[in-house]
Amino acid sequence: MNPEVELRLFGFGLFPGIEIELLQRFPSYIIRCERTEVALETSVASQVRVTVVR
Amino acid sequence: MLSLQTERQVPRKVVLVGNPNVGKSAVFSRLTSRYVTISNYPGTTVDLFRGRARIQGRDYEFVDTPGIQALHSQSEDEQVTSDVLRNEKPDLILQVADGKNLRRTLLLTAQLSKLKRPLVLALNMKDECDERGIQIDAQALSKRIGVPVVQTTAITGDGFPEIVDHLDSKEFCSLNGHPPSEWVEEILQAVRTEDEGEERWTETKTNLLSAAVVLGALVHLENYLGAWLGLPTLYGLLGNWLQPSETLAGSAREAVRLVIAYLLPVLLPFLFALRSDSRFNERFGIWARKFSTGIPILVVALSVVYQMVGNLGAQILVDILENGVFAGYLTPLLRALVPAGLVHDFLLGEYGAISVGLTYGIAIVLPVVASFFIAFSFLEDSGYLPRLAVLSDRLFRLMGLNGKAFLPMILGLGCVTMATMTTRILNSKKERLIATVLLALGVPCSAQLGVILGIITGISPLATAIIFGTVLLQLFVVGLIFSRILPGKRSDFVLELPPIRYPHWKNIAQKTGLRVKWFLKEALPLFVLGTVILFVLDRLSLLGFLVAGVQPIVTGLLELPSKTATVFFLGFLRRDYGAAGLFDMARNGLLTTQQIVVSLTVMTLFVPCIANFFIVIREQGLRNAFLITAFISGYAIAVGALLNMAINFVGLVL
Repeated sequence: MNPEVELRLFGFGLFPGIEIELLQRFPSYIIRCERTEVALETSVASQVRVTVVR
Repeated sequence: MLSLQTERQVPRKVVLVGNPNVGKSAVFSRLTSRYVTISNYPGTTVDLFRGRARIQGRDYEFVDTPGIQALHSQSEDEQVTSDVLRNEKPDLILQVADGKNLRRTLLLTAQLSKLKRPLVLALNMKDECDERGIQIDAQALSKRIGVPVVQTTAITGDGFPEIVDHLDSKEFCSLNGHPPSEWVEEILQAVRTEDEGEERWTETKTNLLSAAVVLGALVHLENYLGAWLGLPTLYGLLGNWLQPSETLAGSAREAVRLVIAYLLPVLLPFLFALRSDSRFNERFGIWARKFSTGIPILVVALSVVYQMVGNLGAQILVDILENGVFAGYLTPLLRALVPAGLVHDFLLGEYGAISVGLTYGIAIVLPVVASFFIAFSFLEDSGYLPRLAVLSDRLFRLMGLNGKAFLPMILGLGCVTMATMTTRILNSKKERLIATVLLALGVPCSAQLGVILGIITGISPLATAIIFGTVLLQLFVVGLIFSRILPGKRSDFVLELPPIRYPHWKNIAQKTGLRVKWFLKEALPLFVLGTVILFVLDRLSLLGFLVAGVQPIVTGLLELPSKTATVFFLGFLRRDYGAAGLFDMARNGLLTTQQIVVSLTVMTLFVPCIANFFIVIREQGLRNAFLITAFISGYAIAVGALLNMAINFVGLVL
């Protein structure tokens, strides 16, 4: 992943082992991380590896 | 008795730092009693604000900073904050945080602790935590991280005595940068509990409210649709009681009619729902960012803003001020007082400082600017705008930008100059340059937009569509071309969406007041100055030469009356002033519809104003500023000429 983007996602509290919620896929991906909703474009979202827990 | 305490005290420097959109500016305003613009989206503050205050006999200097995601971030606004922390060695870092997002907060705290400065953590937005059932044990957290932790609600002032108590704290934070997965979750477990917030509203009530809002929006839209289909509309029905007429009272009646037919049906239920039901806010936030529901919401929002600014502000308020106050009282009064002669001509003549300069500024432009800023501040504070960035991301990507650029672009509709500074939130140099060019080229500021709206109500919808279509197309084309030829890459779209909130009227009023004052200070002197220059040139018979010089372009290429040349000259100072001149000409029947379309398109694409020019120099350097200005001037005229030729060629009758 682009280190710059990684840093920015880290700033939202998005680091390995965190539980996030996928809220929307179009027109942008939107995830909820803690109480923050973050919009990500597809190319960024595709680099976030997740395991479905629920 | 003389006191030995009079030695000059160096104020303690307190720097407010935190993630974007957590309320740093609100805390700053409260601590210093100095108002700084507060909005509900990340990136409102792009520069430092300093304020002094004397609290309990001690002097403090507070510094408000742009929000940061991390200490070593890349965008220019965040750089400002990093620099201040590193270079100014603050006596205290006051980290302001959103209590709802404790994980993010602590990640930043850990980074700040590396700076080895005393730190206090203010967990703001306590009201929203309570509403959502989030409870934080501030004392336990304070023990863990080794610095004072206070919980605050900046807009009410809750928790501020505790902040003041800790302003002299010398405690250093004990967190340090281990991999966060090892300590963050453990701290969160220990200090934070979440339960279901108190539910004052049931699902059914939220559904009812939603239905009322949708119904209101439909009533609002039916005013257009019904008129088009020949069906009865609320607006039409009200015409029986509120007969509009040419008189001042008629204008006032028309205003009431507009408010009742267009604004109240949709705004009343919406405001009520926003204020009383947090579940509705959440739901609206989802609707607004989804494509299928977001587009209809955008249509209604645009229409409401148009009714408020284009109709209520640009038509009715302008009418009341211009025909009522200026033409009705002020000008005749002055005419009676000032005897004919040079002074009379200077103040009240064809290029009179009062009859033209002040009248344009106060009677035509000010009502529009004020009504626009009220509507716009509301949109800003509601948290709606970042959702539009989500909807428009794919479009902006074609122009070498991403959805984040939507924020400076839409701010440009308020004031292009302020918006040019906001391009700092964009993450690459290339994006900043493209956004700066597009803002200068084709985003009309509120003053100009209002004048445009004033003109287009007199011409056909087709002509209106041609003007806006041409301008939007140019934004797109220029963006597309610049994104290809400029070196560099666009950055990835990553944007935080704030919660939807009920805007506080006090903040809207303060913000609008601040912006109107700014307009009066910034634009009005230029309006008068421009008129004075015209007057002098006219007296010295130089105006004729100037006009003759640009004649080939104005009358030849664009096929406009030669008086338009003076209007374009005004446009060099401020394009809204130029547009106001066109407005005046159009109203006096000096322009055909085709000429209105061509001249208005050129004026909209023109360089914005002198203030903007200086800001572009500051942000992009002298060379770029001149290149941008030269490009835009030529481009605007070229597009106008092409448009004129195209209309002639097709033989379009407008």
